[in-house]
Amino acid sequence: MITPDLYQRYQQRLLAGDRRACGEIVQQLLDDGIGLEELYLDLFQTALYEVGSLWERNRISVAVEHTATAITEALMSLAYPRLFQVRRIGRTAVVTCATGELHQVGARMVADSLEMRGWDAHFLGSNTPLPDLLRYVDDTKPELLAISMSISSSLPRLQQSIPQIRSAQQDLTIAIGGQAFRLIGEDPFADQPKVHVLSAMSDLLTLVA
Amino acid sequence: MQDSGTTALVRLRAATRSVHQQLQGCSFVTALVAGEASKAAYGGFLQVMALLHAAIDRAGQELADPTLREFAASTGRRGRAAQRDLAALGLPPEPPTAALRESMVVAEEILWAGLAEPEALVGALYVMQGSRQGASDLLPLIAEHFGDDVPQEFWSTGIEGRADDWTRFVAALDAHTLAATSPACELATRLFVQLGRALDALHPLAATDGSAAMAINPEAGNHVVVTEARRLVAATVAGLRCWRDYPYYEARFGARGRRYGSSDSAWITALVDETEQSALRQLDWLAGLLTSRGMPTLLLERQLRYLHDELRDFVELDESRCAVLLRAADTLGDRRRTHLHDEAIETLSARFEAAAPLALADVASLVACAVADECDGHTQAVPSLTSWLADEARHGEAFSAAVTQLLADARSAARSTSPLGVQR
Repeated sequence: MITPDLYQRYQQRLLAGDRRACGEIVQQLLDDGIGLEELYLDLFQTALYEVGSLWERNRISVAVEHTATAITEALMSLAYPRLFQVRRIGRTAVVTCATGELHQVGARMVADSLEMRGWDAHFLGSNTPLPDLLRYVDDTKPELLAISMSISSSLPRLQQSIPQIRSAQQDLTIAIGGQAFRLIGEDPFADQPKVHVLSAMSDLLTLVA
Repeated sequence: MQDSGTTALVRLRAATRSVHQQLQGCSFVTALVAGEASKAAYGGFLQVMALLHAAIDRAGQELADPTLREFAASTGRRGRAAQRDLAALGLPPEPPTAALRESMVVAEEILWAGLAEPEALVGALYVMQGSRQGASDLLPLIAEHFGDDVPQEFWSTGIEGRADDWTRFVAALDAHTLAATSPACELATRLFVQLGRALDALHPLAATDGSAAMAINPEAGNHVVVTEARRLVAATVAGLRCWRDYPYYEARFGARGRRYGSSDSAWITALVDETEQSALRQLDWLAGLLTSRGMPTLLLERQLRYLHDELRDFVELDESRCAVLLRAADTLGDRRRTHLHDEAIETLSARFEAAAPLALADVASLVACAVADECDGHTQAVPSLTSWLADEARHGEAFSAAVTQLLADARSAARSTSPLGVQR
C-alpha cells in the first residue's frame, strides 16, 4: 500500500537522485506483496508526472528530470522477477515510441503492463526509425502495436507514419497514447480504422482485455 | 569628390576576394564541374539557395534605398524559383542537416542585419547579384549531368537580364561608400564563408546529423520545426523582431537564448498545420513553460503577433491558416488585462523609467506582466524574472531597489484590478 507519507518520502529521494533509498522503498513494497499495477501507476507514474510538472514550472532542472527518469527505469527492473513468472497467454504486442520521440519510460511501462497480463511485449525503446519498425512488426506479427508520444511536437511525424504502418499491416490494432495528448486534445486519428488514441493505461488494458 | 577607392563595389571585391575563390573551389562546385554531384546534393544546393535568397528578400524589405529594395525582392523571386525546381525534382524542402546548420547561421545574420543595420545588406546583395554572373557557366553542366529536362527555373531566372541588372546594381552601389571593415563587407564575407561550408556539406553528402531543430539550435532536441525556406525565414525574423524589441532577452539569455528563440519560433510555425484546439493548447503550455523561466507571457504574445504578420505577408499564407496565432496572442493579452490593465502597466513603466533610466528600459512592462501572470496562476512568473532583475550584484543597488519598488507597485495595482487578488 502506497501511503501519502511513503509517496512523499519516495518522491523526495527521487528528486535528490538517491537511487539506493528509492530502491529500498520499492524492494520493501515488493517484499510486502504490492500489486505490480499499483506499484507502476501509483508510485512510478504518479511520481514521474509530478517530476514533469516540476520541470515545466522550472522548479527542477532537466538534469534532475533525467536522473529521476533513469532511476525509475532502473527500479522497474526490480519487478521483473515477478513479472516473468506471469503465465504467458500467447498474445503479442510491439511497444515503441513515435519517431523522433526520446522519452521512452512511458512506453516501457506500457510494455511491462502488458507483460503483467501474460502478453509477450516487444519493447523497442525510443525513436525507432519507421522502416525498421515496419520490418520488426512484419517479423513478429503482433496483434497490437502500441505507440507512446510524450512530446506534442512529435505529432506531425506520427501522422505521417500511421498511413504507412496501415498500408503495410491492414489488420493491426494500433494504440497511441502518452502525455502529449494532454495538449493535443481531439483525436487526430479519429478517421483511421483500428487506430485508438487512449488517455490512460486503463483504457489500453480495457481495449485488449 | 568621392574617392573611387572607397566605393562599395571596390571595397566589397577587395574584402571578399579570397573567400570568393574558396567558394569556387568548394567540394560541391568541384563535383558539379566533374559531373560527380548526386541529385540529392543538387537538391540540397537548391534548398540552401532557397533559404538564403528568402532571407535576403525579407531582410531587404527594411532597406531605405528603393533600388536596392527591388534587388532584394528579385533575389526572393529567384529563391521561389529554387523552391519550384525542388518541388519539380520531387525533393523535400528540408536541406541536409549539416547544410541547413551552416546556411541558417548566415540566414539569421542577414535577417538581423535587416532589422538592426540594413545598410549591411549591400554586402549580401553583392554576393547574390554576383552569383548570377556565373549562372550561364553552371547551367550547361547541370543540364549535361542531370538531363535537359531537369528543372532550370532557378538558373534561367538568374540569367535573364543579368547584365543590365549588374550595371544598375553597380550604379546603386556607387551611391554608397564603405570602410574596409564595414558591416556590409563583413556580411558579404560571412555569406561567402557560410555558403562554402553549406556546399561543402553537400559533397560528399554528409549523413543526417541530428534533427532539423538541432541544425537551428544544437540544444533544441528532436522536435518538429518548419523547414520550407520562406516559412523558416518568417519564423526566424519573428523571433528576431521580439529580440530587438526587448533588450532584456540579449542581456539575460545571450546567444544561447537567441538560438532557442529561433528553434521555438520554427516549432510554433509548424503548429499552424495542426487543429486550432491542438495549437492553442500547445501554445498555452509553452506560455506557462516560458513564464516560469523569466519570460512573461507578454513576450510570447508579441512573438505570436509578429509571426502571424510574417506568415501572412511574407509567406502569403491564407489568413485562415495563421489566424490561430492571433487568437492565442489575444487570449494571452486578455488574461493579462483581467489582472492588470494596459493603462496601469503604462503608468508603472513611466514611473520606473523616471526612477531608473538605463538600457533595460523594457523591463517595467515585463515585471508588471509577470505580476499579472502570477495572478493567473503562474507561480514562478515573478521569482523567475526578479531573481535576475533584482540581483544587486549584477545591476547595482539602485536598480535593484527600483525593481523591488516596481514589483510592489505592480502587485498593488493588480490587487485592485484582479478578481482573484495577487497570489504570492
